[in-house]
Amino acid sequence: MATGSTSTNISELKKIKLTSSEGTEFVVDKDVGEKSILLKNMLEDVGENDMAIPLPNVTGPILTKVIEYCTHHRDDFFISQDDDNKKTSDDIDEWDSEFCKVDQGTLFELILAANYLDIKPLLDLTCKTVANMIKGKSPEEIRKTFNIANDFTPEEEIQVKRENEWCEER
Amino acid sequence: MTNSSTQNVRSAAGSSSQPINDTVLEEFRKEWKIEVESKKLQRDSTPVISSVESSEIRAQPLEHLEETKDSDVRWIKSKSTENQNALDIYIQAIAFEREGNMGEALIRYQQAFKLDRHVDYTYKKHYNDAMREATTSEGTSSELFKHFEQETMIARSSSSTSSTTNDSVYNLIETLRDQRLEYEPLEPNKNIPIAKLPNELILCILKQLLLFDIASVGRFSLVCKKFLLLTRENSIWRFVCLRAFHLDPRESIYILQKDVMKKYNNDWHRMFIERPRIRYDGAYIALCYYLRPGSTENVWNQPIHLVSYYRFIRFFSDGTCIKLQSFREPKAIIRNFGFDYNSKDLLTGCWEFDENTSQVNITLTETSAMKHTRYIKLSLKSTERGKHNKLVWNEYYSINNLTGEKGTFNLRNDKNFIFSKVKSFGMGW
Repeated sequence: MATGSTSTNISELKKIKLTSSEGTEFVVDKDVGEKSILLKNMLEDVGENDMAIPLPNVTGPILTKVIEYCTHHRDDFFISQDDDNKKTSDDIDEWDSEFCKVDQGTLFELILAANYLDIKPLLDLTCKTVANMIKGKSPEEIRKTFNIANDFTPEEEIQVKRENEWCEER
Repeated sequence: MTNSSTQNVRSAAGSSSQPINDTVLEEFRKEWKIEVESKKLQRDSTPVISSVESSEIRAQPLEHLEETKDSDVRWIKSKSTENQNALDIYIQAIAFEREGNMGEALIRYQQAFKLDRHVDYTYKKHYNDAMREATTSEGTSSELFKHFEQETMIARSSSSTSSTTNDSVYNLIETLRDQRLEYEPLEPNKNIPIAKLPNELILCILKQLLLFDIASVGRFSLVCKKFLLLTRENSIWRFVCLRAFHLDPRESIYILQKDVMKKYNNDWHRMFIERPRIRYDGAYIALCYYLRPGSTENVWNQPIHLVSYYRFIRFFSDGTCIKLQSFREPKAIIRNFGFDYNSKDLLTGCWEFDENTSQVNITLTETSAMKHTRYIKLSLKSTERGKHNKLVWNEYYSINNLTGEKGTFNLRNDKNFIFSKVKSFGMGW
């Protein structure tokens, strides 16, 4: 949560241009854009440049969401806390959980975008949100959630079930 | 039971046959005989209840014998409901006994045996049936079965740690690996949004899910073949194993890697299930009781007191643990059972686990007067594969901190600890 005041001040002046898959141009503050490790590395490699960065894998609406996320968290210090977090579902903060209240299609697009743009906190958040959709549900309920049919034979299902006994709570 | 009730039907039919239309009766007898023959086999193998049903059906055409038949059936019925009741009471008795409530247990045992002399056999039979059902069908857990489920913890033998090595779905997974798996939609006219995600990203989701709740990952694997395959991905279980077993960051993970190769066929999933580990998602509880002779004024009766109490141990991942001995029921204690649990009997200490011997060594310092240090040595076992839910006593002694004097506790009354999951304690590992 450290407010890097110096870096904000300098980069406030700087803007970068991004192009979504449809060719729409987005102008964002440089510090917001640099929440994406992909963009950060690109900017470092390319140096000062007025050219728009094409993002052929990200659609306009999704890019809008991603920018919204990065803008909200622009002052957060994104530590690369590699798996060191004992975080559970409960500690998704309110803004983040509101942010994730989108349809499944959008949610999965966000996961793809977060992965592609290399924004670890967004990837964690969206994956956690999906994990929350799975947690505590029966297989049948999970099938309904994701519209997936059961392709096991009854025998296979029994086998798997039996093998899974170790982790079921008793 | 079955035989006597059949005989009874027969005699009832015979005794009241005289005044009524002979031909009808004769016809019925024939029918009935055939039926009896055909059902004999079936009846021999089915429990009491079904014999009532069949005798009811059999009795139906005998309208003019209504009275006899009715009372007869009622007799059989009451007989079998008695058995049913006896079984119910017997089960209650077992539950009370396990809670340590011997008085209630005794009353119920007596009642049960009064109703059915062979209730213990009936129970055994039902129990075995329920167990068979559990392994063959997909556990349609009836009320009864749920009850039996609890019993299995204790009933099943406990020596199965790495002997059950073969993963029963191993072959299935191997064949799935070679297939090109696609999702099939549950509702054909709708799309499957999750199909957009490549496997590596579903694995990211699974990692998050593993942090919340391991059981959910098990259920996830039952959704479809593709999900099953993903839940067996070595990388996510390596991640889990490192968190669970690689507690000391100074240590090289090489040891763990060597272990998984040597002992678990390079399968991190199997390693996580089978490698002994102390669980943090609940408490280990032992019910202990002993008999104490009471005093009496007359010589004809000698009261005996049954004293029961509980021992609780909870382990924490940071190497600390707490222990409590109490007369109170687990229900009353367990939810708030932490370092801040308000009791003068709470002992705190630290623990160490030796993976080679599966022994956990606990060192407890008495909180109030630091005169003694207690040492507990227990062996970790599993009643079923991957449960790690039983602690067996090896040694219990205390050492006087001033004099160095060693005092050994008698383990005669000390029952083994059985693990109970506690929701509020957090995730499954």
